[in-house]
Amino acid sequence: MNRTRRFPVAVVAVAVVGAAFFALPLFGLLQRARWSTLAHDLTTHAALAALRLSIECAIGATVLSIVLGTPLAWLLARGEFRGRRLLRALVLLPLVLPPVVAGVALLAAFSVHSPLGQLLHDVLGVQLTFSAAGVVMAQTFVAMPFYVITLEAALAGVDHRYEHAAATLGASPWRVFTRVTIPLVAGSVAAGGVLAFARALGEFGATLTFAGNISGRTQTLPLDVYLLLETDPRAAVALSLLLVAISLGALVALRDRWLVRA
Amino acid sequence: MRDIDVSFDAPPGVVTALLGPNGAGKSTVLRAIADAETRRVGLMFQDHLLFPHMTALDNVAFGARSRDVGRAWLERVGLSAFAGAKPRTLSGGQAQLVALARTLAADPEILLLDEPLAALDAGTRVAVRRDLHKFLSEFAGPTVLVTHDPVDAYVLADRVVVIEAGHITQQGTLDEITARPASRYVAEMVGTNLLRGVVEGLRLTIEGGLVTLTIAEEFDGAVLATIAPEAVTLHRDVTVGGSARNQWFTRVAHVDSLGPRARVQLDAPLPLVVEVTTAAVEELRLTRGVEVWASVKATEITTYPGL
Repeated sequence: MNRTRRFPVAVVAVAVVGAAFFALPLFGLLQRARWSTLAHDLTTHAALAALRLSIECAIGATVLSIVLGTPLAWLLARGEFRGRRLLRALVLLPLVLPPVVAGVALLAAFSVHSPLGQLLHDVLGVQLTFSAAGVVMAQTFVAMPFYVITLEAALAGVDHRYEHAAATLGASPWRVFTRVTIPLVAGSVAAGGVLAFARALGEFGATLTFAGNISGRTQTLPLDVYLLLETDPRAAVALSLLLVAISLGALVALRDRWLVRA
Repeated sequence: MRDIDVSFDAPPGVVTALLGPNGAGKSTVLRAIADAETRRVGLMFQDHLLFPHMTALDNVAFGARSRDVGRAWLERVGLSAFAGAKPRTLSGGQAQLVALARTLAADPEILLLDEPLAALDAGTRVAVRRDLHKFLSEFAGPTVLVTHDPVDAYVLADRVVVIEAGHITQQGTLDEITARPASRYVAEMVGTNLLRGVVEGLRLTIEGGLVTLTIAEEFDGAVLATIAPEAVTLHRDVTVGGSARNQWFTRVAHVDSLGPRARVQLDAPLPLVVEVTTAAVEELRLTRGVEVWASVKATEITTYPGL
């Protein structure tokens, strides 16, 4: 055996324990699943409604993350202004914030008892709390930072000379941004979008706090799983497996895109 | 950053080459022009910088008034067949021609080219240089070309501005510069020996005062003198009664063999480069440290006023 390829045994042993830590819960799920009734458990009316709501809201949150997060990422990567570090900390805070705290904060800002929420309710007739729109907001709040950090890193790596070349060819800043900059990081837009989608799909704490757990209206898959754990653990395991499958799918989709740099 | 103090004219329809060693400040001058210009500037770089996500045609049409203009320019550089090709599938020469088409399709009023051929391999460079020459001679506005390759200047440029260490050391047509190099860099570039000295009548005293040469044309004052490497002859012994007016004793510093010919670097008191045949190297057994007599005819020393 090649001497340079030998690993220290202790490091390998601890790494195996670490890997087992991730693998065992998955095995647990697979073991607890009752495969004969899996199809039935996944196609009950409540499960399908939760799945549909989850996917719709997660797509909404992903779109919102891309629309709002792309300019933010650009500003963070390229802008030179005072307070840029502060802005970055603000945008990335939800990554480390307990989601339930995010939900409380969203409530404080947008519930009908807050000035802003009241204004939205009185003027536009919009109530964000306990609605699907609230679910999307809560999910966007926790998912968008994943998109922003992914895209910011990609934008920081773009060769400025392409943009300079485009500018000397007479392109306006907007045209340079839309025709050159963004296409150069298209892979990272997709990767960040997939990450944000996966995070939004699994959102629990902020959603529960801000949008509540109303069956058919704000009850997403993770909330459904939590409730079913009390009443029908077998169905909870079935839905958990579904979420694992979707997350794995997202990871596989990322594998090709994640490292793509234009 | 080093101080750069450069001033030159770049008239319309004229290709002006900024020629100089790497790091002389040529590209900095070009960037300064690009930043200061209010006219539409067409830039071309060492790297083609084609947008990797666009086809060749999309690239060329990017700055053009219309797609048809882009198509026409792609046709003119002879790459219509590659309209749908992505830049990474093009060869280096093709990519640089597409970049040229893209720059010209944007209808620039002045052209700034920064080492446009430097990244190409030798064979491709010749072909692209020929195409570039054709398009530059058709271009109506001023063109400034930065290069460290004298061949680029020779083929592409009408005027040459030599920049060394942030300053212009010489400017003029390439013929003028070749005939009267004003700096060691230019002399080496054109392959001749450059000496600095003072003439009184027919006596040229080389800087340092150790050597005096006889020249053929009378003059008084500070001069630069060139001696072609082929004009110096080497002998094992002192020559008596020869026609060469100048003869001195020296040593060989080193010998570079270039196939059938060799370049012999002489030691003090006159560190000249001498070109001889390989046969002569063997016959005279020229190697490092060998003692030789060198001679040069007065008529082979060209002098012209220098600073």
